[in-house]
Amino acid sequence: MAINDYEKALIKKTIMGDEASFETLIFSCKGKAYSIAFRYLRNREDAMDVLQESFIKIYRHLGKFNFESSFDTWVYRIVINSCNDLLKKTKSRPPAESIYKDSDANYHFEIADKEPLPDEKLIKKEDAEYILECLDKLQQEQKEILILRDIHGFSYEEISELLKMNIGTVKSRISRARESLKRIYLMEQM
Amino acid sequence: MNCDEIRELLSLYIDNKLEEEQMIEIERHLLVCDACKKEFEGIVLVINAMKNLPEVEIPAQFDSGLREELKKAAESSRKTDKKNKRIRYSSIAAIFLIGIFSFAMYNSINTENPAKIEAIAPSQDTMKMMAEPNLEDSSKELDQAMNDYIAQLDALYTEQTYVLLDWTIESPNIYIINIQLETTSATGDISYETISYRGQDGKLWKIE
Repeated sequence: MAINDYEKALIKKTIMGDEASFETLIFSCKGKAYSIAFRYLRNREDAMDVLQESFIKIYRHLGKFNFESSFDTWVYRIVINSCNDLLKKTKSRPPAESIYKDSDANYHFEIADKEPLPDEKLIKKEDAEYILECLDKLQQEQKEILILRDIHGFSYEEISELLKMNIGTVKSRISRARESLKRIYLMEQM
Repeated sequence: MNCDEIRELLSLYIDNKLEEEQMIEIERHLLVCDACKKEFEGIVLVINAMKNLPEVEIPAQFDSGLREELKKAAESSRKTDKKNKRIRYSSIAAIFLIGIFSFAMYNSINTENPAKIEAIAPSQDTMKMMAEPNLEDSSKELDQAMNDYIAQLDALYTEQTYVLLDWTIESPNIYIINIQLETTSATGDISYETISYRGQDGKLWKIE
């Protein structure tokens, strides 16, 4: 993906010290960058911290951007690496923060009656929170590639660039990750 | 293809990443094989569950927080630039003193061939620069040989930043130049490496 002249001009102006140009430069990618960080970390505070830290890093080292990839790809790669660094530091599974939690911290699909309703399993499986719980049970490298491919819709080529791996590895990792997720999701024997 | 081979390719089939012949073969297989069809539907189910996750909105307060941090980063960057220029100037000034001293010593003990030393002797402009420091223009005041070496280093490190730490003149035409090279990884992590170069007869060699 080639970088356009407008982005080049914004990069130059930022390097000259214009902070407002930097805000314009990241305007189109910051939402997706936050979404990636949130899906990796499953925590708003951590996602905000990582994103802010990534953007400051990018701002400071914009002169090092080599124009070989698109600016957005460069941003996403730095955000992904920062998320992975944080996950390595904390080592434990990130605390899940549900966007479906109500004030009593109960998931909406949970029911008061302890007797399972016939379609409870179905309701649970249809809920977005359930797929996120299943994703959390995957190895990090499998979860990562599905966040990029199936949640954020990156192409195989873009993922190859983001994760610095060849297309063959991207294909096989996506395939294995989907298969693992399906088994967890449908509670099949591994 | 047998069922195992078909199942290996289901993910790529869903993403339309196979050759046309393979796509057709899998499509036909799924029409007649219930077990593979079930596998296929299971994968489609999880893909759709992921695709249907709601959009995550960036919190409204993010922009103001980032703006604040950008201001701090810009301020800190300006201070660092000034500091680097000071370091560069003081290093250059110190080296010129050594240069003058070396020149004087050499001149006093060897007057047979003064023309050779002429090239590295500090010029009047250099002396003026040392008396009236100008941070912005200090690098322009180097002697021609050193200027040439800096031009070579600039050409060598177009993508990286380096700071000239110091340089010494070992003999009239041998310069030992120390630089600190700043390297930024893809993740934005910065590392520093001190590298020494030997400049002789207009050429630079890295000292390992």
